[in-house]
Amino acid sequence: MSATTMLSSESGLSRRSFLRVSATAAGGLIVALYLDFPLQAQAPQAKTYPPDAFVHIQRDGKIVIQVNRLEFGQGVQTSLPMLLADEMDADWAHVVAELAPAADVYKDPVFGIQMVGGSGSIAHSFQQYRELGSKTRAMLVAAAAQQWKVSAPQCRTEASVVYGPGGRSATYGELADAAAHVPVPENVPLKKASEFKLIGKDTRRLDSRPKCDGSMKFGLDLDLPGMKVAVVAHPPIFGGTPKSIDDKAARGIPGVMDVFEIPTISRGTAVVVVADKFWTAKQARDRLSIDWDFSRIEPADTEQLRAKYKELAATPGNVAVTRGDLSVLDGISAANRFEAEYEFPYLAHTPMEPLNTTIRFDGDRAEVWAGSQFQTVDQMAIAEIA
Amino acid sequence: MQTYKLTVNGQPREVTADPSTPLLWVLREDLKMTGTKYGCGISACGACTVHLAGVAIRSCVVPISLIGDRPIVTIEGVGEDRVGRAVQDAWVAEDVVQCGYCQSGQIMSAVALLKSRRKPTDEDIEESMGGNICRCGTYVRIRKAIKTAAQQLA
Repeated sequence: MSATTMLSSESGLSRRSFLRVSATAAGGLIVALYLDFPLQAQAPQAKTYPPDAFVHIQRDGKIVIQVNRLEFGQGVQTSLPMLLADEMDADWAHVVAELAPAADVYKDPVFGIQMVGGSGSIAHSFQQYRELGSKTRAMLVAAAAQQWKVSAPQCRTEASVVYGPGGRSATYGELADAAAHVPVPENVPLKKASEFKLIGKDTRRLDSRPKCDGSMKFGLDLDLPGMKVAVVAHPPIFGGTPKSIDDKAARGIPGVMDVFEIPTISRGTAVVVVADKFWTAKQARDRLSIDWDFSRIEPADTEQLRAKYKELAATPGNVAVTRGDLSVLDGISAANRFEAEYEFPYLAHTPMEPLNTTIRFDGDRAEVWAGSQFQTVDQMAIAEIA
Repeated sequence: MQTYKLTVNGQPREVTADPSTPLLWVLREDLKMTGTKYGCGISACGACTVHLAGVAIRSCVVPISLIGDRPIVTIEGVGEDRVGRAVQDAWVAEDVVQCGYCQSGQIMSAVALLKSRRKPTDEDIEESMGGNICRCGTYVRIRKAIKTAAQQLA
């Protein structure tokens, strides 16, 4: 899952992000981020698209946290909310995680694109989510202090409740509306590691139940009105193209709507079948008779490739890091040397959910659901085609 | 196209489909029950496991024409059953899931196992869960959760 090649030239590092708070019609506090684009020096007004919220505290105390990474089973749908909830002193039982849509504010602060990879989710968003949590907490405390006419340092927080002097207390849900009118603090202290209540602690996953009762929606589970299903007959070798296609039998199946060719990213051509349902499309694809042309492909040979890799492995590579005195290694006797050769096959990620994409395109705007790793790259690819 | 009368999670359902259509796609596309997952389509991964008359089957290779009047239970309905609920609760308690894509099938296989063996051994578990693949590698917690559920049900 190395993402280094996917780095955008537009780095997110040069841009600072700022908090904006707002109330909703239904009440509560929404904490959102906006980026300081040069032409956008003023905090933009609350808007529905593109979305920018990270935390929504509802009047009933429910805390909805947007997760800016994709959950693949690695646990970000739980771990990123943990960071925010810990600094916020939120009641974990009231925390709900939501997958954030594709939008600028949800880009990886280091990679500058919205993506998951390189084991960077926690490392890159540790500060970001903790600061969001701490600032949200500070605003809730400020709202309580204002109401009670006390100073903020006289208040403390625990499990979504602000406690003040004289036995006063208010829940985050009760304070959410008022907190939406409190100025956003510039700098907030973050907890010391010894103060963590969630970070580093054994915490149950937030997404277990829906994954155990069939209610979790994966990309393939999407059902839109009038949706059609397309399946692809890929060339059996990268870069292959059809010499001839006999699609008579395929088109004869009721429900099959079209059969056509599409270019593949390996400069080949694939054949697509569009039908009303998956099974119709799959049956039709099985009945395609395609004579493939591989003549323009430079053939790959496993043995030749292996020999080439071995040759390359014996040449000096790039030095990633050097520590200590390397000459010590020369002094190790032959008897104490251990050498081993490791060979790895060409591996795919092979997720169990077959790769799939659903696009709703109205001629101007495309809405996309996909099993994906790089939302920003997907947006660029779709924009190029559409 | 033919019309079939089915019993899914105790409810009578009627669908019109090509007789070759696998039960999986009838569930997912006609009945809009997407909890049962499509993984391989060749009975090799177990993600599509449902119960047919109490037996765990791979719904991706069972055509609708072979169902007859045997009742079907899916992940959406298995929790109404005492064993099913215990397995789901054990899965949550042991934090089994990661990506979750295979877990509907894992749970359906585990429920079928616990209905036939009240105290399954490691060998029983390996034997009956062997056809359910997990790309995240949650096998150790699956085994633990099955034992937790067995204890709960004892």
